[in-house]
Amino acid sequence: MIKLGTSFNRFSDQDKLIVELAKEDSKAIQYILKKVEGSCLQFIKKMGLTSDCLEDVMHDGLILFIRKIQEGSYDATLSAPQTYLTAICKNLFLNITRAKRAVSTIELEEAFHTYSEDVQASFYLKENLKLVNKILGEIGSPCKELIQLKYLDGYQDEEQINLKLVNYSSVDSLRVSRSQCMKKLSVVSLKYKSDYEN
Amino acid sequence: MKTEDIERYVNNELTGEELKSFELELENNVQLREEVAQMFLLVKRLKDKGLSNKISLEQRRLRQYRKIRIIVYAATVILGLLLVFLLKNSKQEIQYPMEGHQFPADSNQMKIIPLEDSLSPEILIPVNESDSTSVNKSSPPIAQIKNKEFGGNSMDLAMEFYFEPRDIVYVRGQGALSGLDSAKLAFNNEDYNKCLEILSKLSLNKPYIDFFKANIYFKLEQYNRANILYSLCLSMEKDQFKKEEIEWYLLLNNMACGPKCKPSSSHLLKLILSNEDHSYFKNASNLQKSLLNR
Repeated sequence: MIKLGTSFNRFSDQDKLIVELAKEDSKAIQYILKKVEGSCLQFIKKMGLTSDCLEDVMHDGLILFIRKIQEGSYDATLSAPQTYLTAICKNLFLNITRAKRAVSTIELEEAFHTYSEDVQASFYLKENLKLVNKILGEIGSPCKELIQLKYLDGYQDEEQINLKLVNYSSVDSLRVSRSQCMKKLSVVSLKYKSDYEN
Repeated sequence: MKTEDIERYVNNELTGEELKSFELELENNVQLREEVAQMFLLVKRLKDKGLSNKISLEQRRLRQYRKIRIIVYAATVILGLLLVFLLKNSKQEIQYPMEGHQFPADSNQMKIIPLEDSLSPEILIPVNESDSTSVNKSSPPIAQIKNKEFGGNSMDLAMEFYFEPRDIVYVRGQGALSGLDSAKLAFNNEDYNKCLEILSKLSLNKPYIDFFKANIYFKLEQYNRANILYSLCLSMEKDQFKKEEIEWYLLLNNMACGPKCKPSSSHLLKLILSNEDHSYFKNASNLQKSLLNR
């Protein structure tokens, strides 16, 4: 726990935290989750919600926040990362309670991004995560593993070869196989998309 | 265009000439643009899933840290309570009821010192029973004749009649040539702590050291400790003159001890007064007179 505390010190610098969050660094994720948890808990108590939804909302809120950092739509000069993430989470909590009128109670500093934007993004995120679970389950082995290593676990192609995580001797052969898998995945996802639309 | 190049383009893995030619093709090929858009969307979804897994993992870790923290806190509290409990108990074991200074005693003494400020009957009456039979049992206890309180006054009286035993008196002008001289000098200077420290290091005969220590505890008003040591010396002593000296000091100690030790002091006073040849008969007579006058 001491180790955790000392490694957290580096995030006291806001810019460093933003950079690490953009890289999806585990420690930075842990740090901001810890920082925001208290204020979110207070908020859900105030709204009369149970803490059951806390983790789910913080999970979705953090994905949205990290994507905003990566896309460049988050402006650190307007709000601190913790404040911004708290505001996203509050919007998502409000969506749960359907108490939209309570938006006016959010401090001005936090109210620079709209309620509907976050709620909509969260909705699409949830749908997409469900879809990925389905299509990955459908394409089966070895495509599932190849795609998982690259996109879910974040291994580079060279790393996968060097660590012998795949049965390919060269990066090129790995890429060819995976691209076939991606094609397959795309077809399956289109099928599900049309199912949704219907 | 190879399918893997589309994926590489979406993942920003194309560089230099490869990138240039791909972008050129992208401008002119509508179908490729659609494929790239589709790949973008797919990769984005997969990356969201990756990030989602990562956040879930960190949330699980945080939950574990929280659990560990609760366990550590609980363990610390339990250990703390246990420590307090043990400390409290150990304090009770070495707590002496007397007020005033407290000095470390050796481990043997620690075991025999009672917790409460009272003396057990077998310690209080160390003199042999045959001697006591010669005393007229019908007469009331001397100490009770006038001094009903037998408390603070008797302590003052005991102090009044107390003078340092010849064996432990420091002779002025004499240098501290040995450890014993140093102990005597410390006793003379009323530095009882130092005196006890020196005595504990000396390898002289035990009865003498015990007698010396008994006098120190008497001075420190730790009467039950002094009583134990005086009684111990008395039971070990063979020399009659020395025995009578110890009886006298034991009498003074029990008088100073107060009402709790009254039976023992009365008994000792009677014992000394019943024997005109006792070395301290005169002192005891004077003590009795003083008691009667008060």
